[in-house]
Amino acid sequence: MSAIETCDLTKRFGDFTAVDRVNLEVAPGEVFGFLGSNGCGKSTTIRMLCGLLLPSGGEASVAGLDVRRQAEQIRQRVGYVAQFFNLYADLTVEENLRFYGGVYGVGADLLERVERWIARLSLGALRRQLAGELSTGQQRSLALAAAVLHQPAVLLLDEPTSGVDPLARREFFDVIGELTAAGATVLVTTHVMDEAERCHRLAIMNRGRIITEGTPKALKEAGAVERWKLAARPAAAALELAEQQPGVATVALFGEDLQFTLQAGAQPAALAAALRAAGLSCGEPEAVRSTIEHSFLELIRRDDAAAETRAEVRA
Amino acid sequence: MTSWQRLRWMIYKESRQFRRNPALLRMAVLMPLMQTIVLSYAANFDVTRVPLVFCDQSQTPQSRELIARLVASSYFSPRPAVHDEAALQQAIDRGQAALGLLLPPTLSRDLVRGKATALLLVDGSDSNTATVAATYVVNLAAAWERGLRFETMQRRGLRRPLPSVDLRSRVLYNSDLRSLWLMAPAVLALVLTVLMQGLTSLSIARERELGTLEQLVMTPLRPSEIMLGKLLPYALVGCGSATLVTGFVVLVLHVPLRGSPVVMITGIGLFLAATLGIGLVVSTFSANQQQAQLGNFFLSFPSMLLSGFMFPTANLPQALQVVSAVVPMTHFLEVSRGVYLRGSGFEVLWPRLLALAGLATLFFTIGALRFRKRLD
Repeated sequence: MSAIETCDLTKRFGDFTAVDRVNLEVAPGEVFGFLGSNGCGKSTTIRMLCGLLLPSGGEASVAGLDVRRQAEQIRQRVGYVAQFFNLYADLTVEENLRFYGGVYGVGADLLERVERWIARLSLGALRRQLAGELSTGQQRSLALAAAVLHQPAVLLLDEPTSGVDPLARREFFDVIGELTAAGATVLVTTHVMDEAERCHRLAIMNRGRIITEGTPKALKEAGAVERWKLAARPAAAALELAEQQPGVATVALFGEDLQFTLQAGAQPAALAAALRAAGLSCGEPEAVRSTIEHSFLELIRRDDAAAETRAEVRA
Repeated sequence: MTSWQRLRWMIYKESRQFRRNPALLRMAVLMPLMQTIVLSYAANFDVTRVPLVFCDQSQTPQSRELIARLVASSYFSPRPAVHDEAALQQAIDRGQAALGLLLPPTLSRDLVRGKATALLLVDGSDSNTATVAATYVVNLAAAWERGLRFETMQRRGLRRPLPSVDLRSRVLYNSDLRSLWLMAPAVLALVLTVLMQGLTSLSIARERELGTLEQLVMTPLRPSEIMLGKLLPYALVGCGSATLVTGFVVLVLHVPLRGSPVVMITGIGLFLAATLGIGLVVSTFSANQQQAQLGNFFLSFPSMLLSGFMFPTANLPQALQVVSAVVPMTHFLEVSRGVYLRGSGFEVLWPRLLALAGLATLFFTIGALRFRKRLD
């Protein structure tokens, strides 16, 4: 049985379709990443999964429970870390954890569990500090601890590491790894690529729809395009010329260098030759190793282009 | 189904937050005392030392006798006398006097004929004071006139005075008609309204504004537990404030609490529940604290005007009397004043207590129906 399963899950706000027929299947113990730019519908999907928003259409079940009819039971089985810090700024670290553990029904071993998580997330020195006085990273750790005290089967994390330094981010994902190893399922939204690489599977969401899904490796390959970099001076003039060069698909400045992709059949050396002919000093084009970020941007670009074509056809 | 464990944790959280907020603590202790003191003394409708100017054109023993009687009463404070009607009018126009009494030159002669006229000018711009003070003048003048008639009869050798009706009024419950006695029991209503409605609505609106409500509704807490968990600590604060205000009113202001404390406590309890309910309803209409604040302001002013806090509800037009009946303060004022001043018990006040219980149920139901655990 899947830990999370949706079938044509849809959410409309008036005329605007925020989530458009999303189909997901997340296996128990999986870390599933939800990738997409801001406003693509990730948070709305998560909020429907935890019963905060009622779907406009489609079905969804979490931990085997229906989000429409069993929202109350789902809450007991789900842990949720929101995009913004939502715990009580005027309660201490310890008080926040006790409160959340308590309302989730953690009984006799509440204090013990609180201690364990305080220790695991290095919050010991801050236990009597008001949550409002913590750094963003510490607040994220606290929110995670509050969400897992009741040992949820499914953990929903909405951009849990935005504004967190890389070291704390790594610790955060280490904890996620431990939780999934113990059987929990994690759905995490992000637009940070090194986080995406730590997920077992990813789905890319764009304009309310899932445009592709697969392992990080598969997505990297799906969006991979040959990419070159070229050192040319002056850089600004080189960029301007490159944009007008036939055969160049995309071009951008990365630091001092141009990075570009080509349309089918075009040769990278042609651009270098054109720049030299225009009197610029220019090195030789070198192939660039494609990252998941490149693939992500490429897949989104293709989806946007396809949508534009569809719109033109309709017009 | 309410879980006591979850409710207990909700109360734990609310109490910690309350204790950590010095502004709320100040509001719960200082505001009730301030309002009691200010309202009890400032909201004074008693009529004393009304500036009165005389124009005695008669200058006879009889006219001097009337003036002496008026001056001797504590109701008036005489202003320098004037000599003609124009000056009398001017004194009132300039606000130097609220009343002007003109005794014409023909007064004594007319009295002998049994048909005397005097002119009383009244400044109607403060209608309450003017009406009351004018009545005092008329009553004192009537007493003076009776005295004159009696003297005349004696002089004429009549032994028995002419028969006349001697109407005496006796004011029950608040024999001196002191405003303080009327206001002090009402202050409690105002304090509890402002405090309970404010604390509840602001506390829920605050969670909505800060986003903490989103995390809260994600927990297994049921709406009833969230609401009760917020309301119970505030109800306790309300009880504290009620004790504080009642203690102050009885011990410091010496307003006697004539009736049974049990009736009073029942009334306070039901009124607390009703105001908490209104706070809850206000909060479900407010996305943030500012809106809640405005909502409270929007509601508390009309309830003061419609409840009989300042003006008797009997003076209201029919339609507004209906509105007045759904204002909890209307019923609580009857209970509070009834217990304090008349010493009324359950046998008299039960319809009011029942109304309060009904309103509390009504507001809680509306609040609970509107307070959902979904965001949309």
